Amino acid sequence: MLNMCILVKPVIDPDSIKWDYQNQQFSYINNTFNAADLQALQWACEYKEKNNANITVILAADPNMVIDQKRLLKYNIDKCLILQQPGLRKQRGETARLLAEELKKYSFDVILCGSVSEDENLGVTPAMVAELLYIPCLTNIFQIDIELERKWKVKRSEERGIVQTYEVQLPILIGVVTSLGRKRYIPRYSRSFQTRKNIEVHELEAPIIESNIRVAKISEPKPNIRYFDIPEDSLSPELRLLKIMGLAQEKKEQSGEKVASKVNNQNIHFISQKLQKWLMEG
Amino acid sequence: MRFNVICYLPLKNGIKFTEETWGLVDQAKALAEEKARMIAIVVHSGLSSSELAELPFDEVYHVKLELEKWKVADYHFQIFRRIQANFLIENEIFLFSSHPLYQEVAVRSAVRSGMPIITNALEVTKDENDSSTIMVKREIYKEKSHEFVTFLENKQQYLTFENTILYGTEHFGKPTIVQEINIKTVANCSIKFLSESQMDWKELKITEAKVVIGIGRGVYGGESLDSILQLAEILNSPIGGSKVADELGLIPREKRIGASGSTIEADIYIAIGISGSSQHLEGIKGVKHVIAINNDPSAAIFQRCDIGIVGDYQDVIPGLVQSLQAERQSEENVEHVHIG
Repeated sequence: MLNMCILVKPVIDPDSIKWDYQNQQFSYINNTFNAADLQALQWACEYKEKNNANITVILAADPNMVIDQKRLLKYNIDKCLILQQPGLRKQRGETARLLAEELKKYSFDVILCGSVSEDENLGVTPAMVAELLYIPCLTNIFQIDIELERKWKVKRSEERGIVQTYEVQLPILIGVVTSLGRKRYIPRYSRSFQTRKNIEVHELEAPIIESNIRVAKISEPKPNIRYFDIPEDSLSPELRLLKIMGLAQEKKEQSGEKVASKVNNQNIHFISQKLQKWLMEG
Repeated sequence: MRFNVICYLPLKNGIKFTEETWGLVDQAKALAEEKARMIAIVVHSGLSSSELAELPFDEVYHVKLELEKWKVADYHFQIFRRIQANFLIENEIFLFSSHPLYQEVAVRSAVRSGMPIITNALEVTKDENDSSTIMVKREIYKEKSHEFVTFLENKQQYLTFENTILYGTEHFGKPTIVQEINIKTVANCSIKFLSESQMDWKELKITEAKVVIGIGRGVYGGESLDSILQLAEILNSPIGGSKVADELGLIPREKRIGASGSTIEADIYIAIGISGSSQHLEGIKGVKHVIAINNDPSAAIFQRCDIGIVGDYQDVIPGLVQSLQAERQSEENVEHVHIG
């Protein structure tokens, strides 16, 4: 039976947060769990249903953050550890250090977590934790196939649909992406009462070490300004509107020679040659 | 304080410099102060010595690794640590791409040496008063905000750049030192690279594909979509479509392209029977080349396209499929001739 650990990160929900232009700060700040971490947890629960496993969830959070324990209890987990440390969000890399310190007390066969957190977009925790524990790590994994209990095949997606397949031996830390399986609705399990007893909250003291990275400023998203052609005054209001909408009837002038009005072999050959050429360019 | 700039150059399959490589070189040049040393570390699986001797750096250190090992970050990390041990510890900034392979190397090295790291940089600017202090712009909260971060004083700093912003054209230089580092043994790792493959067009996401086919109202009620499916198979391109195509049930919801769906950045987009509403055009603003097929000559898509055909898709697509098939067939034959 495998001993699995899932690192779940409480994050500020990027879908709810809004920049308040009047007060120059964020509003609608809600806490949620990192989507990729939950996907890893869902995958582990599905594995447990088929093969039996022991699942421990570890969270590291700032005490100010609201942790929705009920949401975690819906999953078929065996134990949940919540590490609370003041000022955790201000220290870059402190979450990884805290998690690694806790993980050193146990012996897990596999550690799963999201490759990157959706709020801070740092993508450092998996590699940092792995390095502090001296175990190998592979991130951006979107598919895990079990060959043997301790030998897995994992797939990493690169840009442009390229898939890399790796064979990994446990123990390992795997960073996953949100496309690891289809996200499904998790009903309320009756087993939550049993798990509730196994939730431990550890309150830790703030570290003395100062962060060596300073956040100078957080700003509103800068808009992408694009300039369009301003229609001439000589056009009637109707034509001006059509031009702005991109529906002007100046076919010959605008489209020129790039649009052919006949379907013949010559045109088709031209398109096919162009397609081949553009494909080569990439 | 003067910083030496050390670049860990990203390569394609260990054998080719890409736009990403030159983009990182450009970033390094922008960061390097006068008289600062610019050093390149190249871990490759088959670059020629002439290519390495033309890199625009002061010093180039390179290591050759078999392709199977080149694909695993752990080997890169071991090599990087050994090369790094050869440098005198001065003030250095290490630059990496944020590609998963290089990001893992950067993060692990920063942890091992206890030095700070800033990841996924979008833009780096120098402080007006102190040019050795840099300000890094990053995207947070799913692009809803930008944060500006800076390193506090440290001897070594690690910085990874968002690989989407790394783009440059090749240029050459004359390094004073080009040295191959002989690393005879690297410890075996429990991760083994098996294969690399192209995802099938049915599984491929429209946001990740190189070629995307888009269908619209124009194909609704047509005799069959077989020719479009054949074209998709030949070009290995997923089929997306306009809002109307989604509403007519021609495509699933997640394949909708436009302001109310996905924004694609494919190299080629083939719009079949799509008029090209402003919302749809918004979704294809990042596409390099557009081919439009529509029977309405006044369709707005013709103003966005690189090649357009005014006509029925049922006449155009089968012809195009045939032409592409013939082309592929002749290519295969040529390969056989060479092999034979």
